[in-house]
Amino acid sequence: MDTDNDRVPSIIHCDMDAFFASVEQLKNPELRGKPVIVGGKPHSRGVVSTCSYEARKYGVRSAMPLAEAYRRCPEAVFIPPDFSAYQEASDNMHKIFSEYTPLIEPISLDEAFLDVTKSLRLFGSPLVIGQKIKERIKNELGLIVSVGIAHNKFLAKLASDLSKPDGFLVVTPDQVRELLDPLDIRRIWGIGEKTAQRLYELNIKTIRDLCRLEEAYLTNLFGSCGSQLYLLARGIDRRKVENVRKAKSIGRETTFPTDISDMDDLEKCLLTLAGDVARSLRRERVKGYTVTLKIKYQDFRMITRSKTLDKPTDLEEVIFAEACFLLQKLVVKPIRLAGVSLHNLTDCDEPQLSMFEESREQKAELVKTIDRIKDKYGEKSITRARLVEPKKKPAP
Amino acid sequence: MMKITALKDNLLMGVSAVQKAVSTKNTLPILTCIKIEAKNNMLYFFGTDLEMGIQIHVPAEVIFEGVTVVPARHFIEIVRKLPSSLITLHLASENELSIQYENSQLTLRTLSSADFPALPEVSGDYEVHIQASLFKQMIKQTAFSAGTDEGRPLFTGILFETENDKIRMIATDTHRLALRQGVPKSQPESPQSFIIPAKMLSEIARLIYDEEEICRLSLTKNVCVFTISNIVVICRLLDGQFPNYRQVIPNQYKSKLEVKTKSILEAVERISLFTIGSDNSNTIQLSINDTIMTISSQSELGQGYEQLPVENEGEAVIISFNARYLLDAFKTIEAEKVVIEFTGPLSPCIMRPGETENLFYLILPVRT
Repeated sequence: MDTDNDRVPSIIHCDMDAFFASVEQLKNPELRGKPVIVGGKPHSRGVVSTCSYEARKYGVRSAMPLAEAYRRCPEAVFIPPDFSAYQEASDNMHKIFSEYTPLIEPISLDEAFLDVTKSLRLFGSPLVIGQKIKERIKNELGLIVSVGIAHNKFLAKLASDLSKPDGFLVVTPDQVRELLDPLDIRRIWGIGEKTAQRLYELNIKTIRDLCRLEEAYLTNLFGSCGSQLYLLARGIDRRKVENVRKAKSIGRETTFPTDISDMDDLEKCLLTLAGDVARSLRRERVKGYTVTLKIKYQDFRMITRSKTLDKPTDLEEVIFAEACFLLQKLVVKPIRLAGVSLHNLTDCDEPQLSMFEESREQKAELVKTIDRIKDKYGEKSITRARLVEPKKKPAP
Repeated sequence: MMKITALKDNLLMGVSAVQKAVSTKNTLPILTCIKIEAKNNMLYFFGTDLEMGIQIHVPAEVIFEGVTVVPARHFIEIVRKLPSSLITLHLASENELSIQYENSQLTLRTLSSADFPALPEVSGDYEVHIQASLFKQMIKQTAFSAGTDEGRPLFTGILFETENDKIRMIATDTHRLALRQGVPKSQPESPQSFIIPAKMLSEIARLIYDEEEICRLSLTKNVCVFTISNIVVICRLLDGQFPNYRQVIPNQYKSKLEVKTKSILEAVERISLFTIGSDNSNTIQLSINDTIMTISSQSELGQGYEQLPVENEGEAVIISFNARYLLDAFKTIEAEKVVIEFTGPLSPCIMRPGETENLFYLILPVRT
């Protein structure tokens, strides 16, 4: 009997084209057809977060410093990001997805995997579902999505990437070899600059070249990632579409408008970051064992320092104290960027029992109450006195 | 003007002893230095990071008395590498120390001794005398149970309690607790309690080389001064109220067993090899039934169990622990047999060497 369980999976990868820029163009029709760069003011210190295809013609790319983007395309319209608008568009997109399958794995605001294996009887072939989704997003939301369809996540993502912009590509099992062979190894999920560099040095440039290497050789080179590479090069990917993606780490960072060297200012900034991270941890109902402090100095030299706690935490005070402790060990120099993140996340209660915890339990109770106030009256409704900026005196 | 001659080994003893008190942070450069002073035909070394200070004197032939300050790391490296012979230290000018040996001479820049923090003259009004060997053992049997989290400083300390003719040391990281009791040579009649950072006590244990000596603890409001033979260590006390440890010690047990210390230590060491899983839990399970204790664990790596004969009275028990806490305790129990008392799968367990009341460990289990 043909049960759903032994069917070949049908995975759809949806990736919005120039998402932030397209949402901006939707909000403001005057921007349509113009190069739009989302990130911030052209002379501020951030980077391009997305740009419209019109701007890409000038060589502007994501993650490029804004000043460089301005040099390449001075006539572009520079816009600061409006995350609430992107979130809203993303939510609408997910509503459409959820009409076709409950198995949705969001990767970011503008990207998601859909497992439609069990929806085929209701809606038709994966091709039909993919087309419907693409059309509806265009008609109902006014946005363009690139769609990739295959029997696993890696190939589906590859298909949407290769067909961009306004793409639609189905990869069937018999096309896999032909598709993969000529591609640059960097197309493989998980091959970043460093891995690619090592493979290039071995004269491995295309996926065909990579397929010639034995698994043992790859694991020798890259450890456990080696087996993964071996399989992906053959178009094999056993990862499932998971509804809730488990975050591996939760962090926040900020680039300062001007470099900071005052310890007190820096600590205030860490306190804000720690507060944001702690609240995100609690929202996700996870706790983290390892606190990492990331600092970028004026000269762009970046260092990270970590400390692993003996019990996981989601408390701002604990994260802040550890971040300050890590900061004290660093050289005092003007700092451009600071970040705080938690790794080694767990959603289990600490299994090791403890004693003398009364003060911590009280703090956890206080934090819960503050969270409820913020949920009800907004993030700015309650804050620490230390973070309150002194009010400027009115001009006489 | 200082000038002395001393054996390399004596210099090395001096610098090695004070090294641990020298600051490794370079916030105050003078604290990364060692003060060297020649007086009364002795050579004194002193290092401090303001949290802790160590002073030692070693024999030397003092030709001219005097004092100087040298960068610790560099000076220690030089002394380590000197040949085993007679060394002359000579402060030839205001800021240069010459180190002469055989036909050679090294010259090291010095700093002004005026800037170096002085060893506080402490005359404590509360003084305890204790056999150095006993004190060293008491530190070793408790210090490992203290916490390392600087965010909760009180738990990084060891609580000292003096009462009648006993002195007790208690350390806990909130998952386990160590209590060691001993009889000092002498102490005042009035009871006293104070908290000293465990890290500093471990340093003191390391410095005790002559166990026949008597260690003198002299207490003031903020610091405790330890004097053992030619060494003086001054430690800042931790300020605050140590948690009431008595309330967590169970006063009765549901089952009690006795097992050979060496056997259980080795079994837990082997079985804990399987606990190195993806999480930090390090969990092993003990299951006790009449006369057999089964120690087991499992992870992605595989699994294993060992069975040991035990003398058990009371109920059967199944309980899980962090293997490291068990090992830390078993390693410092010197008695041939260890007695373990259980009060339930989610309640503290107590282990002690034989039937003594002088040492026990309390360990909280892991929920499974």
